[in-house]
Amino acid sequence: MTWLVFNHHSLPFDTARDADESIPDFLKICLKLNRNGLSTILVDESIDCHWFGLQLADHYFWRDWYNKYKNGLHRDMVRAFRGIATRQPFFSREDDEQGADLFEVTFKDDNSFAALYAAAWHEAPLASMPTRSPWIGSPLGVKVEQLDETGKLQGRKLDILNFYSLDNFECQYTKLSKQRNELLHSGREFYENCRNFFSHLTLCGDAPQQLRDWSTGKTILDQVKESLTRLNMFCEKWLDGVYANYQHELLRKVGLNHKVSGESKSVRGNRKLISLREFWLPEGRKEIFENHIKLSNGYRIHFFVEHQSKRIYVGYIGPHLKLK
Amino acid sequence: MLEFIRIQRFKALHDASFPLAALNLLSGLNGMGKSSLIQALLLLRQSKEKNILFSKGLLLKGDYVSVGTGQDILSENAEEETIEVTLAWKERSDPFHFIFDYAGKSDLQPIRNSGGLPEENLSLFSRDFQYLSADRISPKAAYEASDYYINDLNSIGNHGEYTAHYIAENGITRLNIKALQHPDALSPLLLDNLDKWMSEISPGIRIHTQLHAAMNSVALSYSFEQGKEMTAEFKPQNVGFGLTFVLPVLVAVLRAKPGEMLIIENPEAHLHPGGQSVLGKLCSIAAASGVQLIIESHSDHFLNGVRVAVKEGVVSPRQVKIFYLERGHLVHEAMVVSPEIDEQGRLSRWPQGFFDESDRLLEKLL
Repeated sequence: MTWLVFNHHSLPFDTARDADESIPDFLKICLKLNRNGLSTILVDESIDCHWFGLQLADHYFWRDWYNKYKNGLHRDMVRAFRGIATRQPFFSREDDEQGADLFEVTFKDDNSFAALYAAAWHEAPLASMPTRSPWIGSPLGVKVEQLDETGKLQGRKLDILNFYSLDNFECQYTKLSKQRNELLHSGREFYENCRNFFSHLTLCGDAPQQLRDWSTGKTILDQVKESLTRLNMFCEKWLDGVYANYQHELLRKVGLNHKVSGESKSVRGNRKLISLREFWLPEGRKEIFENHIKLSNGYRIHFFVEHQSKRIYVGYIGPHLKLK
Repeated sequence: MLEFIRIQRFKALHDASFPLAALNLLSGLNGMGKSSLIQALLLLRQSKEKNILFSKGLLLKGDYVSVGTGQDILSENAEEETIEVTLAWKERSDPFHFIFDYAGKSDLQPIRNSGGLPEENLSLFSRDFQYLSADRISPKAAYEASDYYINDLNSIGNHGEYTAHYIAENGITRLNIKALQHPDALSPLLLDNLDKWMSEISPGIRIHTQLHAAMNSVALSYSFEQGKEMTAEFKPQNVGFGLTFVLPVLVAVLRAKPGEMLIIENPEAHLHPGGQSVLGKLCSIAAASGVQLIIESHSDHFLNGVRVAVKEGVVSPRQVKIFYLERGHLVHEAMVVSPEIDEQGRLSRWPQGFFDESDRLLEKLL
């Protein structure tokens, strides 16, 4: 998780004065989150990405606030505002390919809150303006409905963290950073022990960094550990002569419960897409890591099989790489 | 172009890989291993220059770098007593793997695989190379001249000590890379462009050099535009320290040709923020034109200069690599984090400690 979602539904303020009073805290929250790894704010495509055209109160836009404070004593506030990185839209093409369009979020019987939908999909917290109920509460309980792999509709409840004031930030952030640090610690510890755990695997390319920075749910990390264990077991048997060659199907025989495949013709034929799957082996050779294990939520482990040394190189552990 | 480096058991770099691009920016807290990467390359070069790399091994004391003896360079907790470097070049199909046996009390680490590289024009080992140390020469009235350095070695010195001589001899030669010509420069000549790029740092500056062959020295001075007039010439000691400090960096980049490798430590030293970001842009232009640069920098302005250059299409995101070195959580060794840059100049991640000091202080100031 590296972003938070701007809750534009929480605007406008009742008066321009309310907006002026609340914005410094909002900027501080953004800076604090930025320093803790949530460096980008996702903004709905219906509003101005640079925020200048965003209406803070009646006849009062962010550009008016900016012009009011850009000089003099409040210049630091403007610097903080300008330093906020935003990204549009809420959902990329890859999100849609992974099923974001088959995903519904309801809050208080209303399913029209795009920001809540984005926060639930990305498992990201919300940044709201402290205007009125329900945006001055946290967490916000939503109902999520999603089609599973068999096409069945699955429903669940989800609490979305909502940062709307400094006080609320301090309380909520402790919880969020604790969860995050546990995952980070776990991913980092896992990576740093990989050499001991998996003597027949080599982590290279993006994989070491992805594990060290791990902040996605524990479920996926457990799937990664399990998959690497199976890859290592396969190599062991391969070296012992139990298997003569690498084949995807043989991974199932050593207990891998996830699908494995190579890339499609369209990916193979596209230089730009292939370059995303190219990584350096520590021996100084660049190879295409097209084989991948399919984990939940669109996560993938890309690996390269070295037939001569009967070793597997893992180059990428993360969200689905681009297909188009 | 050098495309890949792996270093094993050398100082803080227990086992670190660096897939390189044209412009490579090394950053990190002090003592994390940035300099170790550069030192490893310089040790190889200085050993090759002395013709002992493949016959004897790695020379730890030399013109480029002196790092003591074997016991000073073998990583703490090294489980094997070898120092290994793997290099892969675009020009060579196979990577080369150097293995040096550990000799604790010696300044020469014996090479184990002495097969040798075929005679190819690899920038790290050829004349197409320039290293500029962070310890650059300071302002003074006269600088030493050296025909051997500027002509035979094609170098302005590891400390930039022959920069003035190079300008005196080559000020009216054309730039090798057209894209490096400053938009305000009236000609593609080195001195004209040097004046214009330097003017981005100190407006209206003019650089003057005068070779005194009999004394084997070169006088360097600066004058400044004042309306339609020029001021008198000032000695380097009487203008800002940063101008003389950055001069070798500008000369190294502007004289570069495609295929050349530049290793520069702290190019931004003593410059104001605007000047630092100009250097980021200039290095980006050189990288986009085929020069390979390995830059060690602590400057977020330099980084931002590069990011803006990416966003403006001066250099492609694939031509830029950023390496942030941090210490391992459980083991005492450098870990390499490599934030990716996208076409908008945005970085994929901001590890803690990576150019975040101004945000941290801003939060306190609000």
